[in-house]
Amino acid sequence: MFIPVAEEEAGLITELDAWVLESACVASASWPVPLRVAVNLSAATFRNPDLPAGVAAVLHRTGLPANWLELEVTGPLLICHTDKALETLRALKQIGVRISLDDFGTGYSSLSYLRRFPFDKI
Amino acid sequence: MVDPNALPIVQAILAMGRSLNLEVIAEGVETEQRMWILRGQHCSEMQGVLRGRPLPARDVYRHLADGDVDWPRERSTARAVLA
Repeated sequence: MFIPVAEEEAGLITELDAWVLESACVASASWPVPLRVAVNLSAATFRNPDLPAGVAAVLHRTGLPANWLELEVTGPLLICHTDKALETLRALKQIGVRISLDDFGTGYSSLSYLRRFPFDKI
Repeated sequence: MVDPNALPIVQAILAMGRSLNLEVIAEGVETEQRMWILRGQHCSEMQGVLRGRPLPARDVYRHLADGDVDWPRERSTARAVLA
C-alpha cells in the first residue's frame, strides 16, 4: 500500500529495499536450518549499477550463504535497458543468489523473458 | 478454480516450468480446493494465506518449527514481513 508512495519519493524506496534486504538476510542467517528467503527488488534498486556489489556486501556482513537468498524481479524492470538488466542478473547469479520472475503471467511479463534471462524460478 | 480456463493455464505454466528447468511457485493460494488442484498438478511450492498470514521476521522460524505448516524443508522459501 505504501510502496507506490515510497517509489515516488526519491531515494526512499532504495533505502527501504536496502533495509528489507539486510533484515531478511539477518533473519535467515539466524535460523538453525536452511530456509531460503525471498526479497523483492524495486525498479530503482534493480537499476542501481552498485546492486551486485551491495548484495555481495550484505551476504558477507550477515554470513548468509548466497544460495539462501532469492531476489525477485518483475516484468516492468526488464522492459527497457534489456542489456543492462541481463548484465545485472548475470552478476547476481555469479554471486550465487537465486533469481525469480515475480508475477509471471500477469501484467508485463513476456515469455521471451524466460528465454533471455537466467531465472531459477517463476 | 471456478474459472474453467484457469486450470489449463496452470497446467501449461507448470509444464513449461518443468521443461525449462524452472521452479514454479503458485502464489495467492487461498483455499484448500486450490491447494489440492495444484498438488494434483504436482506443483511443489505454494504461497498464500491458506498456509499462513504475513508474520514478523522474528516469528517465522518458530512458526515453521512448530510444524503447523506442511513445509517441504529443502525446497522452501520463507517470506517474512520484516516489521
